[in-house]
Amino acid sequence: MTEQSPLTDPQLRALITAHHTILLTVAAGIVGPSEAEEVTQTAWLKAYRGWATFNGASSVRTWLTRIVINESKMQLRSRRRETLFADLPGQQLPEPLAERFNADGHWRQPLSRWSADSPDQLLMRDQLAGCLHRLLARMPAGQRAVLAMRDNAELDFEEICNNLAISASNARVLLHRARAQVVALVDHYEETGEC
Amino acid sequence: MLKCREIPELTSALLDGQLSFSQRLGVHAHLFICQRCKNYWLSLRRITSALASYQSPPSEQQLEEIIEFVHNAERG
Repeated sequence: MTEQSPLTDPQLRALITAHHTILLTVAAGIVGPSEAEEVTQTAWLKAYRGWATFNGASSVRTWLTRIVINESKMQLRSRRRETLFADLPGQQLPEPLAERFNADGHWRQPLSRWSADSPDQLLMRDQLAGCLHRLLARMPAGQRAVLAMRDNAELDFEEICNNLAISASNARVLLHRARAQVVALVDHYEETGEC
Repeated sequence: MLKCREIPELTSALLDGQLSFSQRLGVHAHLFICQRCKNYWLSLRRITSALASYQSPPSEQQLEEIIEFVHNAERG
């Protein structure tokens, strides 16, 4: 008989609602999309059972993300798969902002001035949230996972490189390209009101 | 002297503490004189702050499946 988790059912539901999609993205980047659901479910069980050990030293999303990363790595080991991060084709994709610069390296199409929404509100406007969801779904899994780990879950850059066994230069390129696409999406939305 | 085209990747790396002292100096000097790149830098910072609180709720079915999985495992 396991000890009763101090997490109530409504609390668990609220956590899943707030963080599951990000966690699924992280898992998909490591084990691939077909096994990500299973890994993330198991991670939720571990988080539920281990809730008493969460001490608030990091954000709850960071804590949950670390559980998902550990669970994903265990899954890889159990499958005797060695490559943590096979999905790095993002390196060959074109530079997302290339068309915004002239041949001489100066801005041809600079960003517009954005509305003064707070960061919390910036991405939560209904239509833009939908656009962002579709953009993230189109990104290569590796690129999306690194963005989720760094900017959604706020893991340290070095921690991401160590966990995924990727070089700092790879992580840097993946992050830049993912962020640049989000910047371009929001800029286009600010200018036109459309995706 | 840095070109504007180099600024998006360099400012992304700046956010992650991945630039050397001389690279940081070069980026900050460029941002000081280039309003367009400074606007990019401010926008990038707003995006990364926004992503930290970004939520995309799972479907009702996904939510119920996880709840059921956890409860079933707890019941043994």
